[in-house]
Amino acid sequence: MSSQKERNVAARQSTSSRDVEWVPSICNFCSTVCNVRVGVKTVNGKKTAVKIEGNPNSPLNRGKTCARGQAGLRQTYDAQRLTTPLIRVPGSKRGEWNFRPASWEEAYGYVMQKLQENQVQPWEMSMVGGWTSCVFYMPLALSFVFSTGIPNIVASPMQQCVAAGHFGNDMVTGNFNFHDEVLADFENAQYIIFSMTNSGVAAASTSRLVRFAEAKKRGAKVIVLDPRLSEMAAKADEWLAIKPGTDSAFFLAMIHVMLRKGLYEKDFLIKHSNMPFLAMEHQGMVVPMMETNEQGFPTAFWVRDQISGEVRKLPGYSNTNAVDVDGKNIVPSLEVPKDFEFNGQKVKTIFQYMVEQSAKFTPAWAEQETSIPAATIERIAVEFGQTRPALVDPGWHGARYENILNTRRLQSIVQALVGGFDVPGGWMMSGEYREKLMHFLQAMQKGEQVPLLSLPGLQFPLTAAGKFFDPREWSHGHPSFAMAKSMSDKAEGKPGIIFPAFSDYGLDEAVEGKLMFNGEPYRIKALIMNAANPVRHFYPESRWKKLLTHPNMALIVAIDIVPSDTAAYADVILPNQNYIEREEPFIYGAGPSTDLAITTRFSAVDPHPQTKGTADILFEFVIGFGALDKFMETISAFTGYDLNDIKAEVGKATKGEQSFTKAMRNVSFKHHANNLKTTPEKLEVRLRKEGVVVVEPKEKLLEHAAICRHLPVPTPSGRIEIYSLLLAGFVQQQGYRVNWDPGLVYFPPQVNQEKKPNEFFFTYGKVPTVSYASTNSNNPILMALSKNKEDEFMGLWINPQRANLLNIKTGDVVTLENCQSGQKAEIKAFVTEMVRPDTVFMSSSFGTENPLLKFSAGVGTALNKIVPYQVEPIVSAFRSQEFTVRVTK
Amino acid sequence: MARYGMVIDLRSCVGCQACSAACALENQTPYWSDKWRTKVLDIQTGQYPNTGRYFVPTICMHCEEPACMTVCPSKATFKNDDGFVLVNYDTCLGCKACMAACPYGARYVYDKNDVRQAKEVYGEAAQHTKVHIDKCTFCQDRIALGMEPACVSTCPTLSRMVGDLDDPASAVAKAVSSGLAKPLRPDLGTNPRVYYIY
Repeated sequence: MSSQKERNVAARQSTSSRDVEWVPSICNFCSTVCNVRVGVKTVNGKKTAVKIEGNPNSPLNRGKTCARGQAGLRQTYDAQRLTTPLIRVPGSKRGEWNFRPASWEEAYGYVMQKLQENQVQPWEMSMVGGWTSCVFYMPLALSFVFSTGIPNIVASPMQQCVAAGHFGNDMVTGNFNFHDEVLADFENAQYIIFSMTNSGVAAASTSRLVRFAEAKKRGAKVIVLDPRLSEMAAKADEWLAIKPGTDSAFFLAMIHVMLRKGLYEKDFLIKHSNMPFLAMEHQGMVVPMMETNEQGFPTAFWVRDQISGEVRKLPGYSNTNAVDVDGKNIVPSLEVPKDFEFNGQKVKTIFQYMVEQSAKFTPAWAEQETSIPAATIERIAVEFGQTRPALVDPGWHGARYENILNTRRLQSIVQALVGGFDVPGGWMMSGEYREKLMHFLQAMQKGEQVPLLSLPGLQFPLTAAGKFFDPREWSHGHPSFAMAKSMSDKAEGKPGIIFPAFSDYGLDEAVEGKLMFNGEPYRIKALIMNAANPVRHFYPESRWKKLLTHPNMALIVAIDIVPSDTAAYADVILPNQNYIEREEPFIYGAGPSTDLAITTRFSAVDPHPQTKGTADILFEFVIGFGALDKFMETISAFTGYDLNDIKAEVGKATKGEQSFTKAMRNVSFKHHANNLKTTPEKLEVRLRKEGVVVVEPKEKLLEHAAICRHLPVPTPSGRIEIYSLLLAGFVQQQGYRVNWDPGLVYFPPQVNQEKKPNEFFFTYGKVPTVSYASTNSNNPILMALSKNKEDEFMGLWINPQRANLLNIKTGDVVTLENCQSGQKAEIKAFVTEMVRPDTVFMSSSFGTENPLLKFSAGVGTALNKIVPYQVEPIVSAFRSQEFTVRVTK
Repeated sequence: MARYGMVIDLRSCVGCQACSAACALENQTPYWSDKWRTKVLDIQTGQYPNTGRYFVPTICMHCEEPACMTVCPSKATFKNDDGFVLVNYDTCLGCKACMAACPYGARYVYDKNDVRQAKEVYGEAAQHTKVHIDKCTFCQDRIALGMEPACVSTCPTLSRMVGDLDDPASAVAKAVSSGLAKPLRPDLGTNPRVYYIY
């Protein structure tokens, strides 16, 4: 027993969490959107955030939070916080930090004056958004541009990650969620394969880590494809150091083996995929037998019924192939006899065509591409095919290679072969996705329209982005500059980009006055940036520095929290409240949570008096542009919120009785309270107490709202599309190109294979202690933890086999040179056995430049010094690893 | 009285350092000098392609027989009723005898510069106002409030479990009695209360 004195000593030793009040919030340090609670108490007479914990009620992160989530609160107290509007001092150059403090009125006045002086037309402006704009302000951001006539939003991380990665998966499953995507049910899976992902789980997405941890403890087998021994690969039972950019060959070989050995869920494929659909060959392409309506959507397919042996007609949009258009139960065949004819045409099933198309993708072929032994590939395909539940992680990062969209699509096809959607141990769709799907189907039956933001899955980005691409959607007749550029490409016989959603494609030409549309220059003269840091987050930095400093650029506005590298290029900086300070203008769905749940943030500490929430800034701009009524109408149309409620609450805000943020928050609470049959006041009390309210748990949802079993998915056919109708549509519109082959296809990474000893494949990735996708790098605790692992986190990983040859040692400063573009950067070497000898690796998200970022400036090397501008032709995703580098000491 | 112990499961740890960050914020440890009460070692072994990478969180073992306590000349190191090994910051001389004695490297000096920095960062809420030898307290303050230690509470990979080693029904007791969880260097006779699954 200890003495009384010792007890007293112990009692005096307090922790930060003693006597705090916990305020629910949502982490803003990555797009996993974990539910957290902020511990606040009075320090030096001021309410201060002292600790963050995961919210134990969260169906996402289950009370846990990573290093970023823990350290995030220090952003609030960053000594360089932007606390007043700033206007560039006349005569100073963009890039120099030379601003004078201003009032909000002055700042808005300056913006309006510049727009008028330069006669900036609505289409000559572009919004530039970071991920918070997308996740938290989508209703306002979209309504803002549509009511003000600005057809341009450049958003990260679309080209950097989301566009290609998600789109690849989503073409098969119809999913899309503007938080992030599928939450894979690791904890019930027996066999898990990861490809091209570290950030998505191990480095670190807490909602996935809590599930993956259970899998590891239970002893699930884990396979990781990665050219280096990442945090993720360190947890693998088998680390396969695949040749960079060839993962799709691995998956094609798996499909080859699984189709030939019968290692697939036959019943699932028959009922819920388009595998049994009859198809024919037309001009060398496989084309399903189908009827379509005027808009091109399918209205009928045909299958051969196993029982009657007859060909039967199926509805064009359905979750099941087990009932034909006459309501008769059928069992479609996966295979039809040789020389089977229908309507005088020789037909086969999609399944048979997929077997044929996969013939050449043998494990022996894949060994040549991937450098993984054929026997290993074959064994893994068999193990995967024989184990249930088996899971291919959907992956998190798109971009990197032109073939990434195909890679992610093939991963989804492997998952489809084992029927792993909305089943234990498979891909679990979010509650929000299922709810939207249910509402959509109900509305479709009644012939009603669904608000844009309630469109389920893939229909949202297709419809929303489609509006930016269609000149007729805009009174001034201009589509987005990225689409204008794509149209001008095609006019010149170049491929262009099919779907340049939220893309920077053509921005440099638009700024320089070289982009033509309808015979006139399509110029971009002004940028309004919200939580965006393109100087760091787009490729390459030189492109953005050039266009931000171009004399044609009349105005750059930056809304931000700390002085980012990009803010230094602004003319006007508007200081933003951060996530701990601000109340949200909306109630949100709980990201990819498999439970249907709602959540929001509560202000934990008082904001700096001169900072504003983004909602308020957007409203004030809209008023400046004279578009308030249209803005409110558009918000109502996009969200389904009651227009009268919006007008009443916003009316109070215009009179100065409340903030615009509060106005929208009140509307949102009323809307959700109505849906939940409660009052806004009661809902507020409950959300403040619990942070997250589960409306319907996963188990209940799966009883009546599982995709495939109960609900068709938002693919064109409602089925899981192994053969992609969306890609087939691209073939029809654009002619054939391997990128949009609707079947099984391989195209290798376009990198030099005949490398000299000092030439390497290039790879990059994330570490768990840097906040990517935001402007949050200047964090003293995260920086301390990163510096702790300086070699691993900031070094250029190089294998000793080559390093010895080049006389390179750990800590040596080496020059990294892009062999295609000639870009150069200096970086310290980390000589390690953890990377393939023909490959080097570096972390992204280091190397900030603004000296005001006391903790992060000058630490490490920035990725976008070495990555050039090259994009793939479907969504303009960056081909950010598709080159080799030369390393010299 | 509960006999608290911790089990660290290396099978699921991914080295994300959430524990280090949580501890630093909870206990105001001097991250600015790269000093931590809990750290995660990143151990790399073997030659390509047979390379291994292991993440090993380290922390004070709260030994039943703490070598650091017996050598303390001022009796500043003591065990409280829960068996947590604590330091009286007021009477600690900063002589570092405990640091030399601890076989697990669990202690460091909270020096003059750190005290000054702490005041700058935390103001009147600074927990550490005197130079002393610092170490993990098992977040005994949080335990008293019915909470888990900060590192356990936040761990995204559920790699840290805490509970009563004397309660056969507790997860930690089960992991220890089954032989799944083992102490580090049992040969030293320190009898740690922190066990590892590896």
